[in-house]
Amino acid sequence: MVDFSAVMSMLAMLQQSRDDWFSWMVFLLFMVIMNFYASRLQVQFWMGQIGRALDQLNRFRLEAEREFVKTASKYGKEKEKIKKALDRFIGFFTIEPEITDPAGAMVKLDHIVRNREDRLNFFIKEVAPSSDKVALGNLRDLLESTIALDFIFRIVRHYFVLGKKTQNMIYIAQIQMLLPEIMRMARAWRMSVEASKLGLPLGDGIGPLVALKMIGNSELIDFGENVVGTELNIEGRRVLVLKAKGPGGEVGKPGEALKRIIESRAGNVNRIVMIDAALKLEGERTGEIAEGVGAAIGGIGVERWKIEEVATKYGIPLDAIVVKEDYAEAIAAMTKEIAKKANEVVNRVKEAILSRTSEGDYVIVVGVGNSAGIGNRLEVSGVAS
Amino acid sequence: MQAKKEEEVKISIGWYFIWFSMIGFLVIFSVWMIWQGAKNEDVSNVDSLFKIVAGITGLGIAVKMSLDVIKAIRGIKGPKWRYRTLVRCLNCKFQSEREFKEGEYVGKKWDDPCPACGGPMVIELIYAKPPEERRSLL
Ligand SMILES: [Zn+2]
Repeated sequence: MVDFSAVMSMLAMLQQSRDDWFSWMVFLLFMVIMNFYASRLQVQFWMGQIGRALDQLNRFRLEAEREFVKTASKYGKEKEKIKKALDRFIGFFTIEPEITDPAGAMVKLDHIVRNREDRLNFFIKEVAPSSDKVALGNLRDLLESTIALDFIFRIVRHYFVLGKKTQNMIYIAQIQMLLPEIMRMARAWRMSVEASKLGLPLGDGIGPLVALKMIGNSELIDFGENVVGTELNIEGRRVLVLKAKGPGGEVGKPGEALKRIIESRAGNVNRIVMIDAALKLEGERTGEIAEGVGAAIGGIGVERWKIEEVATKYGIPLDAIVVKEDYAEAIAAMTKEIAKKANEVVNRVKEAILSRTSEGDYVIVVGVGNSAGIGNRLEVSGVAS
Repeated sequence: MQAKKEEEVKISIGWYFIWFSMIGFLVIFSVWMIWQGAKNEDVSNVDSLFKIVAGITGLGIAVKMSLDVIKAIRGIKGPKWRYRTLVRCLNCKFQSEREFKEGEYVGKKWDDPCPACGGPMVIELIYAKPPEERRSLL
C-alpha cells in the first residue's frame, strides 16, 4: 500500500519551499506510483462490490432451493430425497440446435423444446408424485426460477473467481458493469419464486386474463397442447377465444393449436388477434396498451414461427395488442397496474374485431402468456357479466 | 453447502458491526464537537460556530448512514409484498377486496354468496401490492 509517511513528508516539503526541485521530484514520483496503484485500488473496490453481490445471489439461490423443496414436499416425498434429486438436476441445460444448416432448424428447436418440457415434467413427477396438474405447473415454474437463479450465481462466481485468479481488470470490469442489471434480474426471479410458490398470476398472464374475461362463463373446448377456448358471437362475428390451460403455470402451445384449428377450417379464418405482454422501454408507463401487427408471442420462437407460417399460407391478417411491462414485472406476480388494464384490453379487442371484420367473419383471439393463477372460465352458471 | 451459508452470515454480521461502530463513533464525535462549541460563552465566535455546524453535519451524516444500513438489512430480508384478491358479484355491482389465500385463482367461484343481494360471486382479479407504494417494481 501507499506509504503514508511519504505523503506527509511530501506535503511538508511542498509547504516549505514550492520552488524546491527536490520536492517536485518527490511529488512527480508520488503521482507515478499512484498511477499504478489507482487501478489496483479500483480493482479491489470492484471485487468487493462483486463479492457482496455474489453473497446476495447465493442467498437468493439457496432460498429458492429451500422453497422448491418445501413446496414439493407437500406432494408425497421426504425433503431429503427431494433435496438430493434437486442437487443433481439443478445444472439442467438445453443445447440449442445447430443452425449453420438452417433448413429445418425450427423443427429441431420444436423437438428440443418439447424434450425439455417432458424432462421437467418428469422430474416434477418424480419429486412430487401426488401433484395434480395445477401443482405440477406451478412447481415447474418454481423449478425454472430456481434453475435461473442458480445459473446467474454460477456466471457471476465464474467471473469473480477468474478475476481473483488473474487479477485481470477486464474480467472484473465486465461483470462489475453488468452487475446492476444482473442483480435486477436476480431480484425479479426471486419475486417469481414467491409467485410460483403461491400460484399467483404473473405479469406475463395478462393475455390469458383478457381471454378469461372474454370467455366469461361459456362452455369450454379443449384443443389439446394445453390450450382451451370457446366460441363467442360478437355482433354477428364468430370469435374463437383461446388461452393456455390454467390455473397452473402453463403457457401451452398456442402456435400448434392455432395451426391445427386453421388447417381444420381449411384456412377459412378472416383475422387473428393476439394479446400479450410486451417489454416496455424505460420511461414508458407500465400497463400502456399498444397496437400493432404480427404474431405477438414471446418465448424461444417456435410458436411464433408456426403462427406466421400458417397465417402467411392462408393470407390471414395478424393483429397484435400488447400491454407494456418490464422484464421484472413480467416474471413476478401481476401488479394492480397491469391487472386493472384487462377490461380496457377486452374493449380494444372488441373494437378491433368490429372495425376490421364484417358480419359472418371468423376471428381467432389468442391470449398469449402464462396462465398461472388464472382459471379457464368464470365457474358459475347462469348470469353472465 | 450448509457450512458455506453460515460463513456468509458471519461476514455480513462483521460488516454490520463495522458500520454500526462507525456510526456510533461519528455520533459521539459530533456530540463532542457541538458540546465544545456550545460551552464557549460567546457562541457567535467563528471557531465555536464552526464546531457546532460541523457537529450538526456529523449527526446528519450519521442519520443518513443508519437509514442506509436499515435499508440494506431490509433489502436482504426482502420486501414484503402483499397479495390481494378482488371478489365480484355477478348480479349487482358489489366488490370486495381481501387477502389472497393459496389455492385461489381468477375465475374461481367464491364460496359465500353476495352479502348485498345473495347472488353468486367469482374472483375477479388477483394482484400484488409492492411494499410502500413504490413507483418501480424493484
Ligand atoms: Zn350482489
